[in-house]
Amino acid sequence: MGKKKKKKKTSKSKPHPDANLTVKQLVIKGSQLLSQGNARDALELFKQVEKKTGRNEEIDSCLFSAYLVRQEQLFEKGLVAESEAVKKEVCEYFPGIEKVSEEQMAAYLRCCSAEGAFSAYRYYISKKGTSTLLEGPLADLLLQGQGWQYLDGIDSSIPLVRDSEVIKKAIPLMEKGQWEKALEALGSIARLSPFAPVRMFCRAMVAFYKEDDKAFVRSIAMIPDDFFLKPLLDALELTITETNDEPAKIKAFQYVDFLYEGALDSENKARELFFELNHKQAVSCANKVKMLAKSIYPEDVDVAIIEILHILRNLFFDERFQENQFKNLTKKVLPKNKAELMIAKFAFLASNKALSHAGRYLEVLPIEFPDVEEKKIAHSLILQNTIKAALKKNGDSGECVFENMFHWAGYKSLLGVKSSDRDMIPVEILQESIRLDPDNRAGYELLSRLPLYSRDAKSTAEDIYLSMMKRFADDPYPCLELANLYYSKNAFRKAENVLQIAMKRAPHDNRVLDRHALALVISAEKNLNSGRYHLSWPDLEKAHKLERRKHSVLVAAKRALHRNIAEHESIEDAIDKETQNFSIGEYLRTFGIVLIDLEGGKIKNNTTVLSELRKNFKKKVKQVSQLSSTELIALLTPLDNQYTTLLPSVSVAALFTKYYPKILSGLSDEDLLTVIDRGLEPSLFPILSKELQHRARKSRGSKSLIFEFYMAVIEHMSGQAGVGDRFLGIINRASEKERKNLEAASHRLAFHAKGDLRTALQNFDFEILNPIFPKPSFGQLMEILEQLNNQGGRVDSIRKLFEQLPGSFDPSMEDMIDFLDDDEDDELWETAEELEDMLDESGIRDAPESLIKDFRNHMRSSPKNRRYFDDLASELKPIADELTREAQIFLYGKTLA
Amino acid sequence: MLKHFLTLDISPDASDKQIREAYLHLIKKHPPEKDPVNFQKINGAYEAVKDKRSRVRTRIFFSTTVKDPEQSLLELAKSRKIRRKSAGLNKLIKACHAVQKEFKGSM
Repeated sequence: MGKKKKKKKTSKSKPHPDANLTVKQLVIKGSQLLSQGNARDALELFKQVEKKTGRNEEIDSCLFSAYLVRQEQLFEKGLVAESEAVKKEVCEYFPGIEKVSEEQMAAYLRCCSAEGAFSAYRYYISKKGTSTLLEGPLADLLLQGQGWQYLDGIDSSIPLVRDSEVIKKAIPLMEKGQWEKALEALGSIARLSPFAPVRMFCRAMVAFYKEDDKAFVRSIAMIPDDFFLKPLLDALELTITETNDEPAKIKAFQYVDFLYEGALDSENKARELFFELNHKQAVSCANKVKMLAKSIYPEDVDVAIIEILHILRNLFFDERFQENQFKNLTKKVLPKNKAELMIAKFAFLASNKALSHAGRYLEVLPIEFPDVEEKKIAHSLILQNTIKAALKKNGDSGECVFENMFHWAGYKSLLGVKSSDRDMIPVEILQESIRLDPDNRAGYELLSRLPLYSRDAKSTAEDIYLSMMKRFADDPYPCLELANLYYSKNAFRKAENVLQIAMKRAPHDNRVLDRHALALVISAEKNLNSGRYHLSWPDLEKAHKLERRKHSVLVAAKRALHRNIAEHESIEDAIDKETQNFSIGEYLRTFGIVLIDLEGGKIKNNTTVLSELRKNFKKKVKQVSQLSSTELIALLTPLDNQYTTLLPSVSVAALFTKYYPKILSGLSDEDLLTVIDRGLEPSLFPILSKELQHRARKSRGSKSLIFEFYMAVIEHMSGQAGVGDRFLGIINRASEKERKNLEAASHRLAFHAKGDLRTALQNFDFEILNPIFPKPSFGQLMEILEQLNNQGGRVDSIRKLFEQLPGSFDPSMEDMIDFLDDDEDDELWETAEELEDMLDESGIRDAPESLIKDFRNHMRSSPKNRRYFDDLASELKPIADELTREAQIFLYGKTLA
Repeated sequence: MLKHFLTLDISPDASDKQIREAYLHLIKKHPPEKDPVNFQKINGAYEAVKDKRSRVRTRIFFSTTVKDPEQSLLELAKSRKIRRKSAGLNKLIKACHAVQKEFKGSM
């Protein structure tokens, strides 16, 4: 049986739409398509014609034109390989120079090989003469090192050959990147030369390198689009001009990055890092951090990483991040020692436990500052910053509060702390800071803000100011501060001597003149008190002639007093004489100072004079009704603190409110609060309370709240219990804006408060005024003592007492226990620390002396406890001077001088 | 701290003299009446690093001056100057081919 033949499948394809067109029609249609730019379809039609008719001049010409256009289109699209393939077709179908235009000829030359191009041009010249347009492509070939050997057959007078010699010399310079020299070498190239684009190109490169972008853009505008290096110039232009097409710009950079040096994509990397931080765990951003650092500063990536961490640090205060995330990230991106350094540094900058974190940072400081001099400066700055932070924590009230000593005991030597006296700690730290960097004035200036209670503290401060005087030989500042210090110690002679030095150093300095005036008044006061009137008046005269506005009222008051005491002039007449040119406010203030002085006992046994004066003052003071609210503020503001050596009190508000209780009604609501902010003292509590109550009743909304707040502060300071809830109630009723106002007022009032109230006002947190576990009352302490006694055991350890106090457990207790277990510590100091901690817990810190004495009496009410505390007092006698004020009063009934 | 040195276009271990020279050179280039923004940046950078004490202070307390971390990070990224280099003809021709083939092809 034979094989079956497979049937061929016949294709059922549709006939081509142009299949029925004639050759002529195909040519016409193809030409139309070509003129519209559709070279691909035109080629298809022409190919059909070629198939039908075979090659002839006409169809060759059509195909040539179509392939030429198609080649250019493919090149423009970046299809270089396809474009190269089509070039061959272009050359294949070249119809001859007679059949093509000059532009087509130029395009044809670009499609040819070097040999073909030069040969074609030679033929062209023979038939049609030279053409600048056609020399362009040949010039491009020569620049690329092609075709030099084919120049020989061409007339040397034509520009292409004539200028090629110049180009030959310039090319090596261009290859070395010496564009300026190349441009110079091309100086003779004319504008119409086929090498003119090359010269423009050199000019563009020079402008680019010099960052003259305007010149760059101008140069490339003069380069024809068919110059073979034009695409590069277009990309380069994209990198230097403003554009909305960021992706294109970024892409362009990739191709020309060898023309740039530096962080081309750092901004993008920074944005990427932020995106990661916002969407992922911080530690997974480690790579992004490193990449960004490398792009910014590849020379030392760790330096850049540290910079980035500094910037990001504040981000981690946000609720989104946990504290340890930053630590983990730091450990991942830096070597161990640098990571430790950064963690210690940021803990120092952020912390409330200034001393322990400062100590830790100082421990690792050599890593950051290997240079000895820089390390000293850094060490000094850190110590200064620690003091500033402690002062700031207390609302700049002039008291340094540090955390529990047990946290930082190991860093004492780094901090410069030698003694255990709390008063000395800030002074010693500052002294160490100044020792490390004695040329930094800031350290010395910080000293004036420190509280100096103890003798040692004042002595150390004196040494520091004396050293500053030596180091800054022209500066009156240390002399003035030293004078203040001497006055506080009642060392008047020393104060006057050092002020003399200040006056020699800066005779026209306002601070010096003010201080001089005050010094003269102090000196006059001494002489007046000693009856040496002939000495006191000249000083007062000198003070008066200095015309120091700041002290004009004081000087007038003292002069009036002098007239009265020394010359027996009527006190009112004397005041009138001295205040002739004064305003009402200044006159009343002068009168007030005189009265304060006399009520303090200036004139002994002269009750008649005093009584008369009071009567007259009561009359005169009614003039305050003529004063504006602003003038009343000036009247009621406390006197300068420097007057404490001259007057029994610097508070004038108490005096005026006593003699004219209605005075406060002359103040506006805001000004009343200003007066309270400036001087809040116990003698004013009743009248202020009344006035605030009255105003709170009259007003509504925010004003009412703020008045209530001030009332609550006064009530708490007056000793009223249960005020903590009142604060909370006021704050809960406040809007966001009102809260901010209350908080600001809270910080201002903290200056006047003590103990828990001060802390509450500083932190605007009043929960601590209502503790969950209340501090033990005196009664409770007594119960515990009696319990221990009844158990037959002697109370031989304050620690046991402390442990049994209800609600007194505090994490620091553990530290205390550890500290107490430390074998190195002296037993005496241990006992002292126990006592101090008990006093901390009892809440009598900063309490008035009478209250502490009450507490003392409570604790000593049984004979056994009396014996115990007497033994304790005796035991601690050697270090009694080092104990705090409260401990001294508690043990000895008084402070020890 | 690094940002300041990059703004002044000097190395972080530059001496006081080098810092001052860089500063003077830059403020001549960016005077306040013609370029106030850059003048302020240059001035701020100089003040932060002009002498040893300033440099130490900046290095310790730099993070406390950062108000907007994102903005500060971008400023740091921008502070490194992007300099332009020269290249030879052959490299340019090679780059041109790549531009033609890949850049234009992707557009």
